[in-house]
Amino acid sequence: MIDFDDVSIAYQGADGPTLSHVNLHIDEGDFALVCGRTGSGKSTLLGAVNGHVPHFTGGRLSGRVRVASFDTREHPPRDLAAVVGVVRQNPLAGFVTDTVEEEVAFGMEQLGVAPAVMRTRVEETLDLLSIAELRSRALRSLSGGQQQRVAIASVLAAGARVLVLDEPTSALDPTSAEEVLAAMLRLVHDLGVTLLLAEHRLERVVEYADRMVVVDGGQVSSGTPAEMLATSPLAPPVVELGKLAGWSPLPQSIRDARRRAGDLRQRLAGLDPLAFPREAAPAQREVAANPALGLQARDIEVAYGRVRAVRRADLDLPAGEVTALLGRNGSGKSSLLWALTGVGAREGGTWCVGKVQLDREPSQARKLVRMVPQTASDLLYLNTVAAECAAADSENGREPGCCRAILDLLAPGIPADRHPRDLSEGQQLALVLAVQLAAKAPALLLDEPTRGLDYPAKAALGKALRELAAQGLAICVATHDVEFAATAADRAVVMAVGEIIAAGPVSAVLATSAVFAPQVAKTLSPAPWLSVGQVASALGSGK
Amino acid sequence: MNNRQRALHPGAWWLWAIGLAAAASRTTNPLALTLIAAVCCLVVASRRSDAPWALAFRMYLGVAVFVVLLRLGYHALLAGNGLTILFELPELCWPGSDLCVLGPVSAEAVLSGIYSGMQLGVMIVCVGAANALANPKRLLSATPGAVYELGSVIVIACAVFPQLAESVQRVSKARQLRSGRTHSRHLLREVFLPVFADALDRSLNLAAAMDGRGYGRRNTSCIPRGDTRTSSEIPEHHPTKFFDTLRGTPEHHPTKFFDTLRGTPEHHPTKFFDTLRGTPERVRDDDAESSAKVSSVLIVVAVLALCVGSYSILDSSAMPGGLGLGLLVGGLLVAGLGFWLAGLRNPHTRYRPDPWRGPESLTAICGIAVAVVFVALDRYGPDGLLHPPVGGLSWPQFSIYLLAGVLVAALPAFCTPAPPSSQEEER
Amino acid sequence: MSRVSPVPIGPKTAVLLALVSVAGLAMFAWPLFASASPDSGHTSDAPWIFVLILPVLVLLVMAQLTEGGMDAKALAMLGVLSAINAVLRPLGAGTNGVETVYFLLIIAGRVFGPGFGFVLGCTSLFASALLTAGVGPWLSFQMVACGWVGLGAGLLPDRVGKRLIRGWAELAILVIYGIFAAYLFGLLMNLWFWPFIATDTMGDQSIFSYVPGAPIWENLRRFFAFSLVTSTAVWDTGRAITTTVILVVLGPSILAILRRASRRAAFDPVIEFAQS
Repeated sequence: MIDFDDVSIAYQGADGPTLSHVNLHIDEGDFALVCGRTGSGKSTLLGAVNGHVPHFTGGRLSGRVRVASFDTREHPPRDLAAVVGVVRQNPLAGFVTDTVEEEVAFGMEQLGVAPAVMRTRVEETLDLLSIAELRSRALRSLSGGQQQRVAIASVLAAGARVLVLDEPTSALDPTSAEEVLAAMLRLVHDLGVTLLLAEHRLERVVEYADRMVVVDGGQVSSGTPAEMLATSPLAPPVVELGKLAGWSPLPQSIRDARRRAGDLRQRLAGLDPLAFPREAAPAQREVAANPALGLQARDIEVAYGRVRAVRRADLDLPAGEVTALLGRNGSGKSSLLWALTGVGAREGGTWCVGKVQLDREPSQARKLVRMVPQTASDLLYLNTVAAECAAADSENGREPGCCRAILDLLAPGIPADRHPRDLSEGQQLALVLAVQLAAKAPALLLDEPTRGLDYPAKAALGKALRELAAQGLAICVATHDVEFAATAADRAVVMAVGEIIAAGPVSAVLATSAVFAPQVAKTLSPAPWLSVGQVASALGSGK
Repeated sequence: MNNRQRALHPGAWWLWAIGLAAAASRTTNPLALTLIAAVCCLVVASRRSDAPWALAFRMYLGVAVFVVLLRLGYHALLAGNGLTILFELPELCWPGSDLCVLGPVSAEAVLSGIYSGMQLGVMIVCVGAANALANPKRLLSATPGAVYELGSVIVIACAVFPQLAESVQRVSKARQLRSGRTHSRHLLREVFLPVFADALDRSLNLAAAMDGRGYGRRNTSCIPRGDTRTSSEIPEHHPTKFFDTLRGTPEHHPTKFFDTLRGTPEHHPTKFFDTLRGTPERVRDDDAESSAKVSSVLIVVAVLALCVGSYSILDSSAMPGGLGLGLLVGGLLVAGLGFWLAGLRNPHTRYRPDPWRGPESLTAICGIAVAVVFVALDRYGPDGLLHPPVGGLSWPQFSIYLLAGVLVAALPAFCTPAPPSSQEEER
Repeated sequence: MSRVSPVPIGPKTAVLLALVSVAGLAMFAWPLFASASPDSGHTSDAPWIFVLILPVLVLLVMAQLTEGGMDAKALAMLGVLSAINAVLRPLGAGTNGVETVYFLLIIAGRVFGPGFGFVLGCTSLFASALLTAGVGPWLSFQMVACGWVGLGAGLLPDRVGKRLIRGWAELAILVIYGIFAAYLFGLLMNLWFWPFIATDTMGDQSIFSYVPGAPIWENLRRFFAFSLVTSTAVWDTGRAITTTVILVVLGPSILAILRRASRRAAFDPVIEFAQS
């Protein structure tokens, strides 16, 4: 269905080719999972499938790309719309119209499908993706998962038999991501759609894939998931656990792993998980965890109109610890964090950092609590990285170079003259983090910092946060990513419908949860093992 | 869904309103004008939906009143002279010139201001009525194929507009996080620039998405759209198969599917236009090229005719009376033809186009009828009926024809289907 | 980097655009040229006929400009910039002459060329009318006038000799043009509106009134008096000041952002296919 025949792609002005000598063959009806680090050429590979690269982006393509036997040399993306459908990370940015039904019909209008046929196809596609009841809704008012399903419906209605999805779930909470994945799998199974999916969080999808395509430094290799995972540097925790325990073939789902894990559970029996560090810990702690120096909030209430977003929430962020704030979308996580910065709406409640009562002295909040919002780039408005750093220094009354020094610690080697919007997601996050850290506030809040980050970038963020905590900061991370929480956080707080429903050490809160347990915990329960690193050091010490 | 309730084709409302406005442009009789305004209000009140654009009618009423006051003020204070002096204001003159304002205010000046102001005001009310009654989004989806791109730009703008408002809110909150300032000289930079840069990035994403979804596809490609091959010739990878599975109903035979795709024979244009639009099989580029040439020549001719026609209206000595008007009408016809031809090359179809049925025709005819009545009265009616003199301070005349003529325009308030409630309207 | 043109203007389109511009200008300035012969009967209808004809002309030009299909990138850019203008426009409404639309029109015209500037002027005003301001008989006149503002900005010289005009020189040119455009726009819209408000119907001798058929200089004098008293001093000056301030404060950044967007969008991508 999709054929890459010795394909090399180089962009104009780039030093070398982004992809070189790629040979790839995907059969009709296959579900192929594409993985690779940010900047590995993964997006270029996906873009080449429908001719987006080089017809839209410019560049030089050698070799041949054929999809359903149409050569992309002769057929630009608009001609292939009836064959290939592309869905990207942010569906809202790709919507042309503003209601669900019109959006689904848009592609067909472009292709000149007769109105009567269009009408039937719209109805069928709406049903196929279970969004019929949303037909007249404004696209903006839908949840992320619903938007993504509308995006899939709209390319499918136009006739696409090959779906190319570039990280469709990376901005979604686990429940919405499940909805989207379920819809995609149904298309593969019921309609024989060929699916090419790029995804950072392999743990969600690898068990369903027929093939796995690994892109690394412009080189592409492919095979069955089991083959590829054995050598891939990027693997979900359950596979890492399998490698560690020497299982063969490697498990791809919790079910596989759980059935194999009997011996491992026995080997670990009697060891106390808490005695082993989950990740390589920072060299030394400068300060011990201290609740009195951190942020303490009591009875926080947030309401928007008649909707009570946060209800009498008590939150403790001890200095020197990283706290993970978990919960589904709309559970009040963001509202709570915004309220704690003193910027967001707050109906009532008290909160203090150290000895300063912030509800009495709101002007102090900016000095004591800093936050990285969900869309980090909202904070950036200057033309170069250097200018942003200088602005941050002067805003906070620091000596020049302070922000840049922090940035170099977090992400070394970002060119000073680069435009902030040209940075990768991870670099942008590092820049915003550095800008906010330049204030040297004792409390730092992060709202969904892991979206769009790959495994190494996430690991780097986790390490940076743990180091900052070791220097005495009180850190809170709102996240959907339980694996990240399991490795990076000391404490976990779970919210639902505006209330805090669980709080405590990570091992206590996460290991026993049905929803928020990381893969390792699910595999090795009932013992509260959380991460592969923890198991590795336990096995190491046991020898 | 209640079949009785449906939104009328927006074009019908616009024709109706333009007819009424044209009638208003023929008269300064305050009675006739008031009647026209009243008819507008009646129809709006009975046939508008509860959508936001429908609620803007009040704004147009406000503008109309403002125009009347403006015109009245101008005539009374700046440009009034007449015999019946109501009161005197101190006259202010620019030293050493004849530039004078204020001074005596005459009843004739006031009347004249009100009459001419009402004419303008009522025309604005007519336009406002069209705005309130016609769904602008449906009007957009009826843009002719020749300016399809323009319609798409507006559709995108309407879709991005609310997102921008959210973006502004998000960024200004984020700005407070960083700098803590709520007001400062940097406000413009710190809010506008991120929103702006974000919006431009969004536009690139949008362009990529549109490109990948077939926007801008012309007939010149050979990938399936309206394939004329029979089902046996369709290769395995053809989308038909997929849609058969998708639809799963046996009665939809592939050939039938493509028949519908191509349009039923009776909708088929004549052979000549078939070549122009390109045979479904494969378009020969020179055909498309020649049709482009024809349509663009027509457009140039239309523009020339319209320009010359407009000029003749300004300077009647340049051309014999009827010729100028003829040029204008001819220009409009040629423009329409050029548009139609240019639109034919556009392969797009419309999803759920608004139907044009009896009520639409009735509405349009009612509006145009009023215009015709007023033009006829202007030409053959008694003197002073449509333009009552302000000199004698007499009560303006009125006639049964006038009344009947205007009341025709009220018919749509009773003879058209009621608009659907807002939920159905959104669909 | 030389200037990109997402909406190219070919020779035929240029002629058509010029023709329509002249006709449009005549429709703005008809009061100055109209003859007063009472027998013609059409002179009093002229404004109404123009209100109907101008939209048709605008549509014809648009059809010609977008002939052969518009690039998706240009289209999306136009849509997004129109939406931004539609958001900006009501921000200024209600405050004397604070007009917030011009600066973006001017800068976009400068970066993306005259064709884009003209289309953006038209689509911005149309989108704004649909979204907030409302459609009225004045709309097509505003569209054309704003189209000219963008078109003119696109025609400003891009280089002196072989040197690109950038930095302060560019900003200065834009500011001067912005002031010029602000006043001219005000005058044009006044000229169109003037006969509706101030036609001399009773043979009065007011210095501000439009007198059909009077010599062109006589009417021009009257028009300037009217304009000066009613709007130029407040509205147009306000518009010029706002445009200047925004251009000076934001101009360089917006130019940079637009140029970056234009570079990233690669309006004329170099596409090569090679045998491997």
